[in-house]
Amino acid sequence: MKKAIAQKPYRHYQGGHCESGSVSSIVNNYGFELSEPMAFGISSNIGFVYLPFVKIWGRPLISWRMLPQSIVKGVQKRLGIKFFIKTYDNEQEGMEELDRLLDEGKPVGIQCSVAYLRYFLGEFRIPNNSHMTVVIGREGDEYVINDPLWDYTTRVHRDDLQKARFSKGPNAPKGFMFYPLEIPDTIDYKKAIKKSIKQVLFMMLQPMFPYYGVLGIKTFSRMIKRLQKNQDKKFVRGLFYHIVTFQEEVGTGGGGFRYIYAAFLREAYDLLKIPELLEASKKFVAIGDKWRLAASSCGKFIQGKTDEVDLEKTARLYRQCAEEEKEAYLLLKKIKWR
Amino acid sequence: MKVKEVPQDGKRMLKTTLVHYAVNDEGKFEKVPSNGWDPGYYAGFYLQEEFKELAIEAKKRIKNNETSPLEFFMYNAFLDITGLAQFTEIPKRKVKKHLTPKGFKKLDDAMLARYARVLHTDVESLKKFKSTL
Repeated sequence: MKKAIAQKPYRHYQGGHCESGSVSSIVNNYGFELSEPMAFGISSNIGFVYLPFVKIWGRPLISWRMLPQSIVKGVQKRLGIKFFIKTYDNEQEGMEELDRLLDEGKPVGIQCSVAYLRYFLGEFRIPNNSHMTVVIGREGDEYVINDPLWDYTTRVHRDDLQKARFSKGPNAPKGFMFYPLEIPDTIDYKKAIKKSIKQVLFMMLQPMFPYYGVLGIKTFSRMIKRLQKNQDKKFVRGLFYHIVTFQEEVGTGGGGFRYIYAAFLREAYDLLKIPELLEASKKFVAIGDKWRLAASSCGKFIQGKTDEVDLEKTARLYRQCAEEEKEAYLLLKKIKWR
Repeated sequence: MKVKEVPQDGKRMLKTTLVHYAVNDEGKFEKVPSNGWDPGYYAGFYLQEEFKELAIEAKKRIKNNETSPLEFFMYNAFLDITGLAQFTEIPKRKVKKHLTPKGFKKLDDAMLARYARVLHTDVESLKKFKSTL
């Protein structure tokens, strides 16, 4: 193990997803090459959850990944990069510790609520507690933020940042902070990749719980098929705003995550030269396209141009997603890890 | 998604380009910035509109003394009753009570401060909101 030292100046890093992006950004800037797809894949973060009984704005919860904070913990567990991870009960204490670390010249990753970050969505202050970002310094009352979703560095006022870090509600951040402490000399990628893929297979192919994994996607597509008979068009349209926003726009992404996972499999192939990984990577690209196609298949309906909509076609596309994903996972299951 | 297929529709919800992982001609993955995707943009846009409409309706009802000012601020912050209860950590039963004009009058400053923090406003404007209409 060697000590992780913060590199200067901070190299800007833009990623496809907030949490894997921040982890990759911060680890790279502490002197260890870790790509975003690798961080995402190695912590087995791909998934699918559809919980009709948990409501957000009166609409079901749908997510295409595991819980927030799982990437940081997954990278620590699988790759052996030791992280400083801490949460706080006291707001003042949390802010002081952040100041101290920044004054020492250490960039820090934090979890925060996007509603209080003025640069984020402007007027559209969607309450979501699970955003991850990197604070790289402070100037007076303002913190310099290197957001992995942004293509430029931004600033946030101290009061806003405090509110964002100690927001309450579901997935409350409680001032969650992380930065790498120690970096291992050698990493056994084969073992790590094997474990991460096996966990994905175990979770996604589970035959018991109809709201998770491949079974979850099938349940979800059945729900959409039933919507065709629903006469309350306003409700149906609202539900679709919700599905499409959560699938492609905010960080729970459907298609986007399949592309990141495909990139991970490709990287794994480059390291291990197992042909199934390459094939599965190609399959995941096709699956990502299908998710996006399904989301855009009622694009005109979403834009309010027409009330006529073929939801059976959309349901069929989502069902195909389930079937193709199952094929891809079964292909990964065939790999003989020697 | 191929590099050429990365959507560049021009309208975007965030003030930044979003990165997509796309396959280039050699079969390798590249990070390609996308300049907005129409279905996604419109879904987010109308979701926003929905809440704005609710907020305008709430304004009218506050004027007629049918509901409490909290309702306007609630929709303004993109929350519903369940959400408000979760993010303030006040029981839903009490939140429902505070959303009536009678219940709102009884609120003390400490409770209002808890609401104000979640609703992006301050205690004074919560109190004065009705008189500004």
